Amino acid sequence: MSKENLTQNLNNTIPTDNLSEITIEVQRYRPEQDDELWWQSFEIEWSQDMSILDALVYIKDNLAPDLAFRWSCRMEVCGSCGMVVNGVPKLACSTFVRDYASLGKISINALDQLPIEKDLIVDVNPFIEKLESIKPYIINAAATPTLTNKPEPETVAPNKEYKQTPAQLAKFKQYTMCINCLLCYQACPQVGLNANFLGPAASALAHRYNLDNRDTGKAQRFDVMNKADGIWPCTFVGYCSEVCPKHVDPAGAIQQSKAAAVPQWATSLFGKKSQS
Amino acid sequence: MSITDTKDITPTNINQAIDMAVNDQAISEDDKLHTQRRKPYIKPQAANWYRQNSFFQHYMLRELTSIPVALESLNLFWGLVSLSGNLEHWQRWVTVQSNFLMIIFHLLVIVAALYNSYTWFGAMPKAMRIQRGEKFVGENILIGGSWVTLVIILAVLAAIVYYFAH
Repeated sequence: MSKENLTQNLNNTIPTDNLSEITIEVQRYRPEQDDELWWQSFEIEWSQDMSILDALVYIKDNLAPDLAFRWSCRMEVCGSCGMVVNGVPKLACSTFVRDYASLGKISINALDQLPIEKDLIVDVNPFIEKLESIKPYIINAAATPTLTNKPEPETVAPNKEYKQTPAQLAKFKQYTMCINCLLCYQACPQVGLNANFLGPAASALAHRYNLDNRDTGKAQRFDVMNKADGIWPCTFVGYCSEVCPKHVDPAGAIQQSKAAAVPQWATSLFGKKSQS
Repeated sequence: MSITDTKDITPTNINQAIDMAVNDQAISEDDKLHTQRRKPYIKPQAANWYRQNSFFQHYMLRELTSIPVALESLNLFWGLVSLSGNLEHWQRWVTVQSNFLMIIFHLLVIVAALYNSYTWFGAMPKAMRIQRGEKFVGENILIGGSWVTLVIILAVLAAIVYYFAH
């Protein structure tokens, strides 16, 4: 694209009046002082390269030093700065003020489907517990020493490579991209109805390990996934995949898991727990 | 010697120190107080959540299509029962079907069923990925294939009806 075209395009998206100022409304909650959530409004000057995170940092540095929010990498990798921007779950670092300039106002609130600790900070422990429950690591029966299973030197991995072809990797690679930002949990109405629902990201990560050819822990994960609060409360709304900044597609992962869970459940009825 | 500070930890009592840390015995009084001061705010989901954005509205529309389709299934079941009864029953059912309101209802059912197919065919590539080597079969191929299959099934059904009607 030529420089002229680029300038032209930018000019088309920028409102001509009130270029420099925008209203940022932030939902506040200070546990020591507040019993309810409340909105605080700030007028700030914005620039073309200002992200929502930059705007919040500006507000904290200049207008409200006690404003609390999480952030780290500023480049859509750490997953810390998930919040709700004008009603849509977003990462503050990769969402830009310029995209809301024509509205003249941006509202920002916490991922309130999780307990709010302070302002834009939520307690992620409910998610961490769900993540732990699906054992998000490679379980390899042959490599796990037990009382009855002594790992065979030929099959055990410690001194050897786990072999994986590019096709085997492609099977699950998409689901490894999750950064645990929890935008999908905010997007999921089933999480809103039932906070115990395993939810999108934990289910997608369970699916990721179930699809891994090096793993033999599928039966253990399906024990959790097939519980009433496992994967089954999902009604395939699909908004989780829509808001995912890393294109993980948790909604797809859950539907694929449901299809795989039924034979796993049927097998378990006969007391034979498949290890593969 | 009891461990009351990190400087008390020696190579011989390090395991004991780890056990204490794991059992939260190493948490300072300040930290305990801070934990007790927490007052997380739990926000219940709004009762009208499904009206909050267009994505949820489309989702609810998709789910609502099941109602006319379910009613039509009951209607067809009634037809089946009438057919197994006497001629009078069957003729009464046929008369009801040709009522103006019933025709409107049938058209509504067709629209609802087609919209339901459109949404689920669109969602199918997520639920059923077909891998070829390191790539996956394209979404458009799967969605297009679904529509072609639907058209073939409808054509076969139409042919069967035409065959028995003549």
